[in-house]
Amino acid sequence: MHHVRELTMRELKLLLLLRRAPYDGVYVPEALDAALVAAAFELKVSILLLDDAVFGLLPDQRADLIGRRTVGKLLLALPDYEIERVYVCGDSLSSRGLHAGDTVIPVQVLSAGEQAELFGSHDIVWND
Amino acid sequence: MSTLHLIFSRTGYDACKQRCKHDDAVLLLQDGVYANTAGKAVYALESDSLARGVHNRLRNATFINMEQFVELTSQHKPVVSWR
Repeated sequence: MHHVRELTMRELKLLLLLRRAPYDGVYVPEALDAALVAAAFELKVSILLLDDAVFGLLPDQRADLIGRRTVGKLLLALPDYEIERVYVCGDSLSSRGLHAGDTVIPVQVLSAGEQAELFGSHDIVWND
Repeated sequence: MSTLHLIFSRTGYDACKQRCKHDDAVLLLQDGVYANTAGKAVYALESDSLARGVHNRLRNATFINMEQFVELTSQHKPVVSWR
């Protein structure tokens, strides 16, 4: 118990790394749920979106039409759970014709080098 | 502690390679042993490499067993999976 408390006090930093397209199975919504639980347990959670995961940032998604949960809406709810650091790969955005200004939530655009540094500044990395 | 990148596929390796630092460790496992790591110092799981017949093609790899894999995970933080 003492050990657990010590870990909590040090504030573990968790990075959720998302790479899959938002409606490729239920991986992305499930991973986001896990991140919310982690945040509820007072881990400091950040999210990094790469590759096709950046499509989850598009506004005006209507996943109810395909019987799914709308990933854009899940992302919008993140600040309510004190997840405020959402990072995105600049190359992944631009190669898909997207811009940081078009996203459903504010994101911080990172270069490949900055992403490498980001991993090193976290204790745990989870995947979708 | 530096980061350990676990590579599970060729596409996983491609996504990882631009985002890893010089002192990070890279381990190929499962279909990750098919990755074209030309010239890069990497670790590869020996059983997965032998099973797929790519053991001789991974010239710059250091081959490790499961025990050494466990050791590697304890020597690095965080551990990042690239599927």
